[in-house]
Amino acid sequence: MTRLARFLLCTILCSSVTNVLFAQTEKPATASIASISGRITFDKQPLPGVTVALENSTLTLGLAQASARRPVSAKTDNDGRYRLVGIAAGQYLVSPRAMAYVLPVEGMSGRTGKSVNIGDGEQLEGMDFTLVKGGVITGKITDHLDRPVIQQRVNLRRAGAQGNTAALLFSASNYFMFETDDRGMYRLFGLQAGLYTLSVGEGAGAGTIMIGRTGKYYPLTFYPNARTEKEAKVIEVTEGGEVTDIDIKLPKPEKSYEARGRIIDASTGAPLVGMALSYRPVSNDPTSIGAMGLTQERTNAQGEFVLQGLLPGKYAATMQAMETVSEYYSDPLLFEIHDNDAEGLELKANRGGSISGVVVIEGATDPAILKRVIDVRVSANPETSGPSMPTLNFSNNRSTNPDGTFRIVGVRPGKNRINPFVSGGTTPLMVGRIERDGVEISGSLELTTGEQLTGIRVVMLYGASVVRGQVNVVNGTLPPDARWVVSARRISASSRGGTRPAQVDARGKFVLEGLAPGEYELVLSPLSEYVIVSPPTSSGSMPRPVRQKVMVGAGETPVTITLDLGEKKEGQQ
Amino acid sequence: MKTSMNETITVGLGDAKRLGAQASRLLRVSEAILAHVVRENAEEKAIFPPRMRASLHALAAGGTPALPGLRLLLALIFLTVPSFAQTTPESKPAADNKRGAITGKVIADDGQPLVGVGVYLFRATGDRSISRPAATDEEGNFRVNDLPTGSYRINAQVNGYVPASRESLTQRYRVGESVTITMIKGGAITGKVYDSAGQPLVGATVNAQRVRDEAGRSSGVSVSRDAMSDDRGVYRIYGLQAGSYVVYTNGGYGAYYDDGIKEAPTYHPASTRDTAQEVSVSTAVAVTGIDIRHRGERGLVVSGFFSGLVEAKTDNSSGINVQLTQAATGASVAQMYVNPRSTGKNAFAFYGLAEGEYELSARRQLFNRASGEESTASAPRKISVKSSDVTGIELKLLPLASIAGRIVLEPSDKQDCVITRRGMLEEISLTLQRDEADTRTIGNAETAPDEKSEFAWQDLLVGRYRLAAKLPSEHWYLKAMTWTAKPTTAKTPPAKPWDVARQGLDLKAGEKLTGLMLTIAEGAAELRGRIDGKNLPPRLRVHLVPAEKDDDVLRYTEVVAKSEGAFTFTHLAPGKYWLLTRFVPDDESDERPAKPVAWDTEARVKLRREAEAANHTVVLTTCQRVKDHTLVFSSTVGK
Repeated sequence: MTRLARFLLCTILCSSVTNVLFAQTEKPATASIASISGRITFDKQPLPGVTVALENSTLTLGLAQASARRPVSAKTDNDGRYRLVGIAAGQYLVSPRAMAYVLPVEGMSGRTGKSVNIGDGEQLEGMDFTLVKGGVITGKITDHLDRPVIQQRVNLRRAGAQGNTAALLFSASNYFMFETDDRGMYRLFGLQAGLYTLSVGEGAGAGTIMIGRTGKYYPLTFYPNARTEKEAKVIEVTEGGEVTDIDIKLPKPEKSYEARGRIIDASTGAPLVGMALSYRPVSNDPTSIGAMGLTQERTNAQGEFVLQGLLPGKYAATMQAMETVSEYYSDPLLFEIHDNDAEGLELKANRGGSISGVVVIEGATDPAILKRVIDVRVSANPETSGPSMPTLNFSNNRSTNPDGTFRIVGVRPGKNRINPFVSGGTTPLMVGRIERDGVEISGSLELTTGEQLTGIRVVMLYGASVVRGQVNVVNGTLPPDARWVVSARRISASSRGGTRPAQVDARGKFVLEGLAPGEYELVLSPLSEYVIVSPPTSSGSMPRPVRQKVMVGAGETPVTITLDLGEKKEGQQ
Repeated sequence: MKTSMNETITVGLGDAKRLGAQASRLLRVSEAILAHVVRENAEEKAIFPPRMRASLHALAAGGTPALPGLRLLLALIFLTVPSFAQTTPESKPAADNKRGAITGKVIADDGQPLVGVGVYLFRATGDRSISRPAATDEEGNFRVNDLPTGSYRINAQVNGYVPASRESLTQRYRVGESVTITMIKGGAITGKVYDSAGQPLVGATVNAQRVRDEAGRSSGVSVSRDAMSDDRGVYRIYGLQAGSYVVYTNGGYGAYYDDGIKEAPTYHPASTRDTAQEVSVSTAVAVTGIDIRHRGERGLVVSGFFSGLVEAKTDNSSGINVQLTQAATGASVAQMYVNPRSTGKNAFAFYGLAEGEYELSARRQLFNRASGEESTASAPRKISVKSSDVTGIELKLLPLASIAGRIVLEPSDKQDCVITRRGMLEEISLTLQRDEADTRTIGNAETAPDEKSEFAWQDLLVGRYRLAAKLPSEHWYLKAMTWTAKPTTAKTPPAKPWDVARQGLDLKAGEKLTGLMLTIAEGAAELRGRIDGKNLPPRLRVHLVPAEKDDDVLRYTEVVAKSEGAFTFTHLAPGKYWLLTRFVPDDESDERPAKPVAWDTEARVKLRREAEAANHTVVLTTCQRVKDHTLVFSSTVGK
């Protein structure tokens, strides 16, 4: 890889990393800096030297804001005590990072810890954790000629967990240990006690895509030598136990295939040059989101493209304008790979219409705030429920110009929904309303073929109001791993009213920030349906979301939401 | 992972892991986001650049009907081997007859074919680039079809293996050629890391940095790989090139998670860098017992802020990448990414540093050149860190420069040469090197002429540059490199052409230098020979010095003779030369040759004087192939 490519990769990936560092903390040091302290124990003994990290809650903050906050962490002393200091008020996850030790119950997506909403200057004590020793699985991966398979990823899944792609792969704290070394050996540690299956390879038809690779691949193989998860031998990991010799001997690698074709203008037949293609497996499983690939090379002067590294299965591909502004849109091209390359595919693209207008900010006079129209992107999404391959023209959501004007091209005829969103920037903005020629509209627009629609006005609201809330649980108690979220949706004529989410912490507190004054509906709902690796909470059925309206003025608005666990649960008759 | 000049080494374990880690974090946050996009159809809050954002959108959109048991497999669509180098398409319709294939074979050093290996071909011209992945079959063979005319760089990626020779990295292959790449299993270093109390350090990143080549010479080129210690404190770093390494860690997992608590590095066995014990590594062998007792001392901090062209006007996805390197070796110490536009922050900080000399540089690369904006960068800044933190460093981001020009082939009336290999201009590979203390060119140092014989380098730092051309035909030599400044007004008399070989090219911040003219002529000569003499020193450099009145700098050439004294000069302009032999300094690694003498006026004059005095003359006529020239070694040769 070129250094540039690596740089860009880093740019892409690092940009989303939450531990971007700043020497200067974002808020000047004042007396209102909060702290959190507690103790970490294992087997009733203190655990020294454990890093306790305070993660910004990306769920509730804009990611940009979250990443702008410097991570705070501390190490436990010889008595297992830690103290996190210099914390700005906000929403966090307190997370012990001991690696070889784990919390008895894993949280959402492997984010182990306790959520906390901390106020200005609050000194929160007693945030204690009792850890248990994680289990270990080790083994060796060899190929059909008994040679070690080097730097091969192994996939670990909770046996019987719903969701076949819910591998621990990305959710465990140590990404690296899932790779074999130069002897083909791997060692997975810090695992929670439980039942697991272990596999290696790519599953044809299982919704995976090989990225940047061509040629051979190892077919999905579960320990000890099964092709399906059903036939896999379940591995039992006990607290602090070590399971060894979980070896997999891989079958001969199988061949992958290519798909070749052209992108042409549907009406003239002329080739479309310089386009990328995105493609993804079409799974029979409707709940699978699946992987997506993107071609690196652009179509040449003949409009030709090649997709490489395809496993047998059904695919959908669509055109992507990556470096250019394209006035075209396309329907997905569906094709299937059996045991041959696909040749002569034709992706037909049509010239679309355009939508243009202006973005304005209301609720502020400060030029520095008004300038942030550049943080707003506007996209137009077709409302037709056609094939499930979205058109992803990056040109379709270009940044707004500094004067607030925007123009979306390549818009598909038919109903389109105008979708403004804030991308980047730390100024709290939310969607207020959308107008056409001075009249508020729902945000849905009908375009005829090639229509150049103008006069759209997107009103964004600047909001610095805060809702400080408390959830009171009655007629029961929540399980310790329950995670709740409150979202505030602005009630407006355009159903596009902005929303703000916030996490509810272990004390029932939540804070909604960056709200524009107005009326909101608050929805309190459990997050458990996104919990990928945790066992279901309590009886498995979830409490019903609680809705409540609130009028938000300037400054702070206090709110109390009552969660009645005595009520009928969803899924019950 | 650092690479030597003009070379690319396959992405290292270190990179992959770092990327992997970032990816895993990314995926965590994206899961959260997706959950919300799906659930709330909420405003987008991502700070992802458009490409990533789009993929998230795609996933979210595709997943809308699938609330229960949300299943995610985020394709790391960017963890590819991208020619991200602002690829605009191959816009010119290349006639099909100008396209062809490169074929080859990847084998292990024992001659066994390596099956299913990824092979990557790359070529850049101006602001376009082509990168093609391929894979080897059962016999280790690969074939890449439909390649436009040109010379390609080829990398084979075999997990745990390293190239058996450096040549395969520097070599360029023309369409129609067949190539054999030999790989050898890399060496490994393994051991345990402990804290100062003797407890195993879990999740510590352990780095192995190559400091000497196989011959024990300071390699200057820094390659480093890393691994993470397991629950027993055991680490294993593999896929290492032969050479000497120092091995260090900055502490346990906490340091990985939060740079802010990174401790000063402790080197094997329990040392600072000065007293670090070097570990000698051979290929295919694991060195065991390389333990580190981490001292857990507070590291020093280097921090500062950006000024100048910090924010892009339109592209809010392009942030600033800050690199901290060792001043002496260019080894990467740390890097970070800051996006002032999306975060409102304008500062950087590196933690856990040892005392030493460092270099800082910042670069803001745009994703989309179509926006009409430009990438910016700071000039590299030397930082001396001694006993206390260094704060308040300003990195001023300036526009980057570019060079564009044309290459022409001077027609020759001589038709009597025997030509075994004809070339095409597109097959020429042009490299750019900084004529500074640090000769590494940041960005794409290599380019090639396009179908119109035009070439360009983009995104260059301020500084002085030198050019070199790798010619595809033995019949060709580089005759002239000139640049003529455009007259500023109609009345200004035309400027005198600038001899680029003599003076180099000085680029100012943001300068768009155009009109560079390279002239290729036919009828090149070759000179092969041997240094003859008793007790030949192990390494000698042979200089070819033009022995004519006009001191044509372009005609100075130097090569290091092989161990038996054999030397080869190719692509020579016909004419009279002096030959001179000099010692290669003991500490000069083959991996990082010294700057050519001709770059420095004073050194060049001295060389010419010496060569004239030694008076070993050779006259080369058009197309002449001298095969067995003998150069008598004299022990009085200059050092």
